Amino acid sequence: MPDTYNETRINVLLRDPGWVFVYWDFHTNLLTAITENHRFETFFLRVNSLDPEQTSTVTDFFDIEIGKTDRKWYVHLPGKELACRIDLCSRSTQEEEQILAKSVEIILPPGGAGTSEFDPRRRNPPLLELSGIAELRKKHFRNHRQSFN
Amino acid sequence: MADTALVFVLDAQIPFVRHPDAPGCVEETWFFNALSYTYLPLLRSCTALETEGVPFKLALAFAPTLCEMMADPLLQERYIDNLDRSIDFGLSELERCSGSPEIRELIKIHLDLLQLNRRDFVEIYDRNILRKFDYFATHGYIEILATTATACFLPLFKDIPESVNAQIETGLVTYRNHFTAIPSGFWLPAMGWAPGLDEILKSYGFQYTILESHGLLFADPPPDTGLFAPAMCRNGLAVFGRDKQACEEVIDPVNGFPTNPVYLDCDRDIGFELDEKNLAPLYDVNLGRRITGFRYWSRQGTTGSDDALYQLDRAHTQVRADAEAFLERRAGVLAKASGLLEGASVSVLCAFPRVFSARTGWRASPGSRTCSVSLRADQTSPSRFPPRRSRTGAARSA
Repeated sequence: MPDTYNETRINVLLRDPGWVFVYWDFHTNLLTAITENHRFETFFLRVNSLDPEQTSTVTDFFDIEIGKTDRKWYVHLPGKELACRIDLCSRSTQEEEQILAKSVEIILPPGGAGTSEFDPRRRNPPLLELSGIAELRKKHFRNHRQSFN
Repeated sequence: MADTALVFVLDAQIPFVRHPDAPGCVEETWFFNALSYTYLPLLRSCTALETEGVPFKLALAFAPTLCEMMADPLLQERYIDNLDRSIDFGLSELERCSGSPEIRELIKIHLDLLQLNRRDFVEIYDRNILRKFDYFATHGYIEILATTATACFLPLFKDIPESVNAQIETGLVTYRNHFTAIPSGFWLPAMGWAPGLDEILKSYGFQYTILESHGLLFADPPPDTGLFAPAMCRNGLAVFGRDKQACEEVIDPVNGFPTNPVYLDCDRDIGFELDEKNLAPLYDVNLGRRITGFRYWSRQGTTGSDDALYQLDRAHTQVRADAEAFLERRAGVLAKASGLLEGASVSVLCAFPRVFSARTGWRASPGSRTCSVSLRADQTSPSRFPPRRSRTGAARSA
């Protein structure tokens, strides 16, 4: 596989309801132009929380600084986002920011029962209990709680 | 009495290992072993049940890659060559183990299996076993599910609907090349689900699919009926939940049935123990060691005790006891569920990967005897799927 497709773009893949895998690439000319500019400070990822009903509306965001040679990151979504989009951005001195590429908007599947903390005293409806939901919750809490919290 | 169903689904998945320029490669043996230890014994069991008039139903999700390999003349030829080499090798093993009558007995049993496989494959199925599966499908014994062209995890492709459509369409083209019916069920690779897949599956006419337990039970809101009835998507696509707990009873590598010390140790194969000279008639060790199918030891050694030879009769007794215990537990759960639903129809679905059956299920009984455990008619009934459409689109009961 080539290291680059010489294209400025960013992609997001959902790993689980709490984590996304982000990978990106730069067009060589753009990368050179930005990094050789004496005002250039850093690249960063802007993680936008979107309104799931109207995904063009950004409700919140936070930034993650990335290295010049970084091309992929796992990003933890700390909140209870239902939809998100990640932008590849650059920042120069005087706080000038430029969006270089935007990912597609992804709808995060609800964790449902898996998102709630495991509580052995919780009573489930009998048919769910018979389906093994208590054991399933316990296993999820033991093995995947970092994905939900 | 309420209608209860225990549904078995086998995920018939294997990587595409056709290498015309590399005869004798290790990967090909995966396919040959799948034929020898899963599909040919499965067809024999189905034939025996049909002949004896035993009603049975099961579902198979045939991967298109597997179908194409099964129908490929080159691989068919190589499989026969592999069987011939294995039979010759078995005869040489009889000589090598002349001092051990117990091992010789196991070799003879395995030789019988190989010769039976060769006879069935060449003389009965005319090298293409898909036709026989299609026969069982058209006679209502087997439900064959469609799946994607390759084992792609669809949630990763949901942003590229063209890819998802291409995967499904290619899978359907292969299905129609080999099977008569129009599939009503769709097997999601790795049971990977993403919102929106229901719309795509429904647009191809599928009526149901299967998810892992948590895929259904962690839904928001969770289905009222748990795993005991299919949940319905808004567009009418039915979603069955795999009973993970029930499946783990059978396949769990730590606590499952196969860990019983009387069963065959499938991880101890003489293909990894004999020297190059002894294995030369079977394959070139320089191309990579591989499973030969000649295994003589029970799992007693792997459980910390001394090595012990595999004893077929003890394994048969145990497999019957395990099967009865499994069915009894399922019948109990189904009865409870039916009671909670005031007599409504309930089902439990057990889906197994093919690799499981190759390693433990059929191979646990290399004598190829059919082990059938009878159930009272009021405990379970044959599998029950949503109505299946014929080619003409008319609805008929599966």
